Amino acid sequence: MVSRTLGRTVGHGAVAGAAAGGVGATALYWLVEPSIRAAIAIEEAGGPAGEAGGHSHAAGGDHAGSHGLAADALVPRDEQVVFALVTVLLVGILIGIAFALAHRVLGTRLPGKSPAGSAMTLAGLGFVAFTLAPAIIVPANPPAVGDPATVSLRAVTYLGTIVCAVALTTIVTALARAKELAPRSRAVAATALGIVGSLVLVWALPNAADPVPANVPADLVWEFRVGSLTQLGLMWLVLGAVFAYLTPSQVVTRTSPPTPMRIGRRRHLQPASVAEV
Amino acid sequence: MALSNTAVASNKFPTTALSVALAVYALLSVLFLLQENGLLISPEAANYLHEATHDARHALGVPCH
Repeated sequence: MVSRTLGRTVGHGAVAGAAAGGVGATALYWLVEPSIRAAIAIEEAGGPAGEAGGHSHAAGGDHAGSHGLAADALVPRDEQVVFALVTVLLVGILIGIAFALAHRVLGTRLPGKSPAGSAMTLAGLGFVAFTLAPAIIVPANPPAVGDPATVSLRAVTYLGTIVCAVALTTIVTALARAKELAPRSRAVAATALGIVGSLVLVWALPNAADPVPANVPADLVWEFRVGSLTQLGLMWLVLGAVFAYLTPSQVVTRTSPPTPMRIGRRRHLQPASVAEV
Repeated sequence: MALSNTAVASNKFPTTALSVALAVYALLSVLFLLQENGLLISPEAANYLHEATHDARHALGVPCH
């Protein structure tokens, strides 16, 4: 019984994630790919960033500057776009599964009066911790921006930012719901901690973002970042909404109406005093 | 883990552990998909994966080259 319920959770997460991935892939195709195409054209025209580091975008055989031809032909450009859509779909499904499991494990510890409400809340918190925080510390860049020499620092900073942001988001949410404090104190304490914590993180995390080279127009970087954020925001929104739609809002028991002893499977419908003692 | 009675706990703990493990596994798969640099698979395969996921990595905001 338990494993089947877990399986259903994973299934709902996968479906919601696939929907999010599908929407994300569409957004990538319409909103982000034009910027990527323009950026690769700049890179191939021989910008300093593109030529410096031995990285290929496999955009055709004419990119002979820093790379062997084998690497250039590895994935043709049109296939690269298809793979991008598939990758976004896969990432959506995997994130959806992790999202559903987090929703299940956290249960009533999440804000929200119903499983659907807490799913939307979790999606919002996920957007803040997994998308917005790294977007502020290490903003997304189109292909022509980015120094290969700093990629390790940027990758570590990116992951570290997510870990720190998840921790801060968790603590702020827990503080906002701390039963030990009066409601008004909770709101003040959580807001204050959120502000101070964000400032500390911005100050403490390494400033790893690369400068934008002179040959890359600011408009291009802006459009790319707005497109990327829109794509990710849509993905979180659709993930939360579809999962909220799929998640049962009532305990479905086969025999009897739920009692506090029998509804361990769905923590959401337990009275708060039972669930959190 | 705020669980108050054993009837719930005996059902819930393995599921919770399994859930956490699966969630971590899913997130690690994302990391593998987007950031594999030859640690687990051959450099050629990693290079292919890197190029195949290239646009998605940029669009998802994950650092690249």
